[in-house]
Amino acid sequence: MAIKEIKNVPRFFEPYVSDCFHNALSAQLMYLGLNPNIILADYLSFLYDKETGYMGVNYLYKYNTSVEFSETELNTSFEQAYFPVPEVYKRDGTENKADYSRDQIMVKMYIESDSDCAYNRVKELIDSDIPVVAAVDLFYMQYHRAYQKEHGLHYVVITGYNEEEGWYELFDKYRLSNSDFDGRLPINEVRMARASDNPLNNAMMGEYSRPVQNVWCEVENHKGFKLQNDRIAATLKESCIRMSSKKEVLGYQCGFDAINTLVDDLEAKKAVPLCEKNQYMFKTYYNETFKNIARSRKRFKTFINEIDGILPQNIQSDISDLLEESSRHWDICANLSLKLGITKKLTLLEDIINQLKEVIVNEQKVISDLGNAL
Amino acid sequence: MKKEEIEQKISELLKGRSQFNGDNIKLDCDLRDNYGIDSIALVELLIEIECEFDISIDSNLLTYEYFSTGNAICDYVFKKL
Repeated sequence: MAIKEIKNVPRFFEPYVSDCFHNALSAQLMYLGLNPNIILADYLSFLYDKETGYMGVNYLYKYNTSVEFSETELNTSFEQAYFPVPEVYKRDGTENKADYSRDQIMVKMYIESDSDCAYNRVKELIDSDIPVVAAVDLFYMQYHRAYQKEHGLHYVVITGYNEEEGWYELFDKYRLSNSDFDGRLPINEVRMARASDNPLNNAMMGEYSRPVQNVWCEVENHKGFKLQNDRIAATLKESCIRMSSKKEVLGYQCGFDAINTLVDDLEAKKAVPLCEKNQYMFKTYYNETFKNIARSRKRFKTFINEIDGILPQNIQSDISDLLEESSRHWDICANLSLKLGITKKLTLLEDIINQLKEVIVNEQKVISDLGNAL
Repeated sequence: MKKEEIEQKISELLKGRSQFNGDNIKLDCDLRDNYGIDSIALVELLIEIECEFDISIDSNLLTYEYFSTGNAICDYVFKKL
């Protein structure tokens, strides 16, 4: 029987994080002495799939049925971080060596069907003073309002354990889903949460599941890591390329052309009464996705404000204001989508379109300013 | 309608949407921190207010930042009536 607690792991939360994984990983990066606002700075972009209506920033937000993704899918967002394909953890250290640049932080995701093996690896990491970002099903997390009511994949940070008394010490500061937990939970419950099949159901997908597979992540290459100015500049340049629609990402249209396509599709919806699926789409998917995009603009603003010596200060300040305003318009789109989903008032489509036009005006100025400065 | 009547009605609606502290609604408090009203609940609340007072809320103001307290909502409704 063993006991171990890691002290001083930052309880990170910022309202501009992308999702619960981003929030938990940021805490781990800070613990390792890294700045998540720069390491996890994603490109300014917008992605749209006309066929499905799915949107995103650097990848489409979809209802996933797995925690496994291809290398390409995992590496569309960041210049400073690299995500290899998730793989089964091998205790003998014979896992595939990923091909990545030494000036990138590597975030390895492990999946493991053997719960004992996954449990032991978490223990080993904590014994080495490394907090663990692990996925759980909220259905088993007794501090959350979803407990015993709804399933959902979520990430927490495990910082300690006591086998004698049977508890984990962990925290979950992702307040965007009303999480604010910092304490102890029974090991057996967390093990169930990590091994859950995570059955889900919604109007767009019907019944499906997204097994948690005991997934956890390990950060490598952090010792001696130094931020490179050319990588920071590349984040800015790639943002200009994507927003100017000069490339596709994962085969999907990017940037202003993509926003205009979305506007055209919303125009076309004005003449058609909302079916149940589209009502759900606006009430839930568009609401959540527009909120996420709004946060991405605040995140990029934070990144812009934290980089030194690359942009002139007046440009930095102008871009910062424009991004704040753009974020506000994306946020209004989110709220209007929810309102449309509830009230079914198609006149709200025109209001959403007007907000998107404001977004385009603001973000074109951002890209113009960035382009002139680089 | 008098401002006091608007405040009374909005306090009742806030109580109905609150996750906690519903019996102690103070109009100057942040809705999220004090009553657990998140952005989704706020939009639902504002739709309810539109029906209750027969007003239309300007889409360009539809943010949590603008309507973050009961007072902000009351002031807005008072101006619209």
